[in-house]
Amino acid sequence: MNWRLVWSLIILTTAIWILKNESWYFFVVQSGSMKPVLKIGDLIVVKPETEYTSGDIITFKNNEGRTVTHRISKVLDDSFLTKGDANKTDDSVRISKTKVIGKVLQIMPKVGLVANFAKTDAGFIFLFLLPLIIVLATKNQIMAVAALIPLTGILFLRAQYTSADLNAEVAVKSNNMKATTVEISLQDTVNNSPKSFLFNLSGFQKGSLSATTIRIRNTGKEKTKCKLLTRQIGDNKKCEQLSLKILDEDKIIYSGKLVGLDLKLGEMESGEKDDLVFLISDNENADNQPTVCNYVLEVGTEANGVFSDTRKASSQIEMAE
Amino acid sequence: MNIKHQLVTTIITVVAATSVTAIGAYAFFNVRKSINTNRFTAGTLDLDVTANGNVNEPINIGDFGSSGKVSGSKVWKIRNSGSLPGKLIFNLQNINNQENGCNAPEIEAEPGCEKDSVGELGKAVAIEALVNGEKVAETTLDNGKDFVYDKSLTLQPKDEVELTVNWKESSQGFGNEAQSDSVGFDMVFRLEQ
Repeated sequence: MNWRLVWSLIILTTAIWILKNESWYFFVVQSGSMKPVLKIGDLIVVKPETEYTSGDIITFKNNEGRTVTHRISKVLDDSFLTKGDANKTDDSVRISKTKVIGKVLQIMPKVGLVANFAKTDAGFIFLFLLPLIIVLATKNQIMAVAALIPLTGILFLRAQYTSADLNAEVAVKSNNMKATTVEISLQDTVNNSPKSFLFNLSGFQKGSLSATTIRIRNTGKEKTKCKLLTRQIGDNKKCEQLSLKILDEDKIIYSGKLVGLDLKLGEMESGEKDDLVFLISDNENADNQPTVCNYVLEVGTEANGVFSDTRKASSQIEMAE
Repeated sequence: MNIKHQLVTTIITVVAATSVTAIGAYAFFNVRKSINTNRFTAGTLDLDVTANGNVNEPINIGDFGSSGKVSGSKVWKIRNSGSLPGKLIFNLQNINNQENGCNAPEIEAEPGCEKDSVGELGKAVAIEALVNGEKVAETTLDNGKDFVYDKSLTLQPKDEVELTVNWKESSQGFGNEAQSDSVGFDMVFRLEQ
């Protein structure tokens, strides 16, 4: 038997089969994110599958076109979340199922280093050319087993590279922005309940005096300045005939007409309150008509920020006949 | 074995041997031409994020909107503390806008205010990111999808970069409807090999 011919044909057909076969691929692991399962320099055999499940180690093309080998951490509808075993977090980009080359079936520790050598000039000579010459030169059947060497060389030449990319992630959590509050309230001084009116008087006697106390409280979180405003509602003239005095801790801080008040109060800290006494009187010489005054007291904030608040107390004073 | 048979056998052997050699050479030169990434990379990838000397210090503003306080900034120092170069990525995650109840002025400005609904502060706050002084991303805090920086910068081992995050009132502006509202978020930094 002509062993040269036999081995030549065996090597030729096997080499063609190795290079043309697309049912499996070889990859040399270049980096260490799949430690300890895959180490740098390992050769992996990857086979395309129709289905992949969570936990499978797959080789895929990432969005940058690089070949990466990581483990599936979650199977999504048309993509996978992947993660390197040595990484703490998933990869940032989902991998489309169409980008998957295959599943890692076999791991050959450190053999990738030999495959890497095979791609060098020296490797090509020592792992392919020289063994091939020896095989073809020998007449010895046993020596021809060396035919495995050039075939392995071809197999190694077919091996590609895959990264097992490392990543590191730090999340600065609990960033928080909270808007402050600017709020004032008009309260009853007895029970701190909200008060929506100042006076509702009927049968108010000409020349008489009526008093009430109202509590202004800064219920917001922001230090704020407040101001008081009064304005009449409707077009009757009675309000203009009524007088108002405001006392703050026995000091008169306003004396004038009931309507048209525009009084700036001091700055109030959050939670601070201010009790004001309102005294309303009618001019003895005023006309008997009209007899009703409708007006509104407004307490507004003067915060410099974007928030503000205004509380209103509507009132009606009806004179006695 | 006759001469003719020997000749045929020799020719076949030579052709086969030449073919194998050609295939091997083709495979070899094809590999040499197409693969230039045959480098093995051993090492670690890690990063530190500090602000004011504190590790992972978050933004914490409790009085947004008070006394005109509608802007500010935070500087994070991001350092590659591993032994391998890494591409920098950061983005916003888990943005959470909260109404936090509805106080009187808020209800006046927003009659439908519900205490557990989504707050309005996020859309009123615009943030931008500057890497070493150059603006690289901006968004408002009701969305955050545009606030992504993706691998435009490679940090070499021990390299440090400053990320400044500025915030201010968005062009939309805001009023009492945002009172007491809050917006929380995670700032995620990542190095990838």
